[in-house]
Amino acid sequence: MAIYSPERGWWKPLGREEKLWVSVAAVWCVFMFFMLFGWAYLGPQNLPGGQQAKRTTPAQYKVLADAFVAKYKIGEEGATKVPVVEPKAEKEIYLTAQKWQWTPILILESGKMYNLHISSLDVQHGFSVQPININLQILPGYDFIVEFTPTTKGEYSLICNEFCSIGHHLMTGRITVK
Amino acid sequence: MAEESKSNQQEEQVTLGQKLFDNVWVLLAAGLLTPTVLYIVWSLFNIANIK
Amino acid sequence: MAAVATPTVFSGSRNEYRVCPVTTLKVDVAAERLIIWNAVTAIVALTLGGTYALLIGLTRWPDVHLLSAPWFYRLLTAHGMNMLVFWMVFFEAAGLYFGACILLNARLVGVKLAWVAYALMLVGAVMVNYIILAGEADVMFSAYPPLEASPLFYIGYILFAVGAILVCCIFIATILVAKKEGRYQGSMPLAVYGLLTAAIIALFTLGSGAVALIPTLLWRLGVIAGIDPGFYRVTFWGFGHSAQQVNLSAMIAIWYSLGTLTVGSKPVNEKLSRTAFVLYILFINLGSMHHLLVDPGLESVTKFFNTSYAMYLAVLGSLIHAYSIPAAIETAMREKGYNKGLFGWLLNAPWKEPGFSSLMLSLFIFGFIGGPTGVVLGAGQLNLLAHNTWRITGHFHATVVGGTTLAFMGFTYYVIPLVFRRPLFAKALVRWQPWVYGAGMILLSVSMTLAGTFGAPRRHWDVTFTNAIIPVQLPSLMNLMLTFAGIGTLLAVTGGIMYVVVCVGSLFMPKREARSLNPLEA
Repeated sequence: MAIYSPERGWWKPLGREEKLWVSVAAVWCVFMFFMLFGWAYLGPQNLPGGQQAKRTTPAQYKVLADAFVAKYKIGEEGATKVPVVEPKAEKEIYLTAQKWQWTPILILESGKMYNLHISSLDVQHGFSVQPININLQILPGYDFIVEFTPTTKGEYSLICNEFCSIGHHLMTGRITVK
Repeated sequence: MAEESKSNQQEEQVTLGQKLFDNVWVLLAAGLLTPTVLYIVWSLFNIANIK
Repeated sequence: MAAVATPTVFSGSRNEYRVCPVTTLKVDVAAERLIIWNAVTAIVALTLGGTYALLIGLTRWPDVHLLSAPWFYRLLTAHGMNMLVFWMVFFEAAGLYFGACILLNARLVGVKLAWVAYALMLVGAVMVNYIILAGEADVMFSAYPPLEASPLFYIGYILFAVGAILVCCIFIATILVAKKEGRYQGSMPLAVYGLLTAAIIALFTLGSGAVALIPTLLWRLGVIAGIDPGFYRVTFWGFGHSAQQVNLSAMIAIWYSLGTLTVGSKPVNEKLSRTAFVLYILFINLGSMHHLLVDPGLESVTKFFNTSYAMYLAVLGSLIHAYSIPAAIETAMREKGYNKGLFGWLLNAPWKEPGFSSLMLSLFIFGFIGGPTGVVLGAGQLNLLAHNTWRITGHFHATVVGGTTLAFMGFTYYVIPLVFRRPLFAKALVRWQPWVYGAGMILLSVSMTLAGTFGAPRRHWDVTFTNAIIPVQLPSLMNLMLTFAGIGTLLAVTGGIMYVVVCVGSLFMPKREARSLNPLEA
């Protein structure tokens, strides 16, 4: 009985069904583990690795992000004049998370590889691209470098899915792939 | 004599594995050390090495 | 001359005990008092958390959208703290005293310290609740820096954690002394082994929490300039997710116990079940990495080794329990003669007993929804698609709320007649409560998960993004899922109210010794 002490010598061999169950379960566990690594080679999308992050500060990052926007800005949108940026030949692109707006609006080219830098100028934010549901955690003081190649043309929305205080639900953005 | 061999038998019934699993200090040490090293220390080491 | 009843005292100590007429177990009187106070406090926390659950659920239901944004975020923080921390840990404290003393026929070591622990936990919980409602801690249960809360929030959190650490130490001291004083023979019962697993995991959990929260408090007090958000996330989730593994271990200990209490089941192989608990002790805390899979800066090997609980060894532990518990129940039922066909043993099981229905519902919800979604979401590449969406929320509502809480509720129905020594109030409610609550939780957690696959973000007041500068529209099917989640909330809260009504009502029933192990007949 589970609530009473077991017999004196309880270290006994497993029965036939137990052995079968544990063997099947163990094999499946090992398979699942190696698939974590296997998918890195077999799969088209993976987590950015450890080297794909740099230390920064909000001030330092802002300088780089503002320079990027200034260089490639082609317009503005919305009441707060969110910059619209088309990087053309540039590979290093910068996205900024700040209460409560993703800046800038990006226009990218399908089939081209980018290093997307993402960081926050204040609190933690949740980078979430819809409708493809790609999600990353964005920290201030960390430049998250995401190497990716857009493959499907269209308009993608950005929302924030990490609580970033009272305006959290107002935080949106856009990435357009041409 | 018979009693002695019976209690010896009972002692033999308790294997090393059972004694280990029953040892609260062993469990405590293993349970605190393993995640501290493999999760906390390893992860913080990663983070400390970001340049 | 009238006979004066002398209290029975444990040999070689001053602790008093009474003998339970139903189980013949020795019940340490001091431990019993602590069980009662911790359990009642737990249920108060559950009631608060459940009230907030209703208000939050009615806010995320798009057609209702009840609370304003500030109050939604505020009560979400309060909901998280009261449910994940206070309800769970106060109840587990009661469970630890129950396991160490009553199941081992032993005396409680450090009675005064146990009351100090309770006081610390209570003060901490009250402080945290107060400061949140005062609007000075809108930071969620995770309180990620650089989000700022009043220092009182962190102080309350830390005081609670210190109290909980003391409870774990008292538990371990009690079971060590119980062995030394020969209060039980051989190895401790499997259920106590599960509680020991919970206590060891809890010590790692709370230690990690202290490492996260103390520097954060120092930052909020102005003693240090800041706290690295990456450092905080690693150490906080060493507390936050590991706390769920404490809940898991306690729940499994209760599953084994409920099996015994309802159908007289015995573990099919003690070595097998204990091995599973040892795998938990060694590796289950590594799962904290689940929260960090899409964080910057952690190497893939670090992420994959930890997220898999060391090559899924701790998952193997869960798979062992998933086999052992139903196997034990089937074996017990077949031995009683229910051998008809493949499932005669299951159909003839005591489904009317709340202990059995809560056991099976909890097993089902955790085993088929909560646990598997956790393993899936913990796979790195899949986490990319799910992080911070409502899939995460769906997962942990299936585990903690549909699994652990439901098991705790079922166990309460034994604690009330046997420890509180009052018959259950409103037995009709008792019979149906696990079903109503379980149905609500299934609907809620599945709807949350599906809404998350359509992109629904967590901790979010308005998924129409009204007034956002750049407009966004998420799929309309998501709104249907959010509506189902709202309905699930209502059903689950109804089940919760039934539970609280039974508990509170029972406190006012006349005190008497239990007459049976079956809660409906006690």
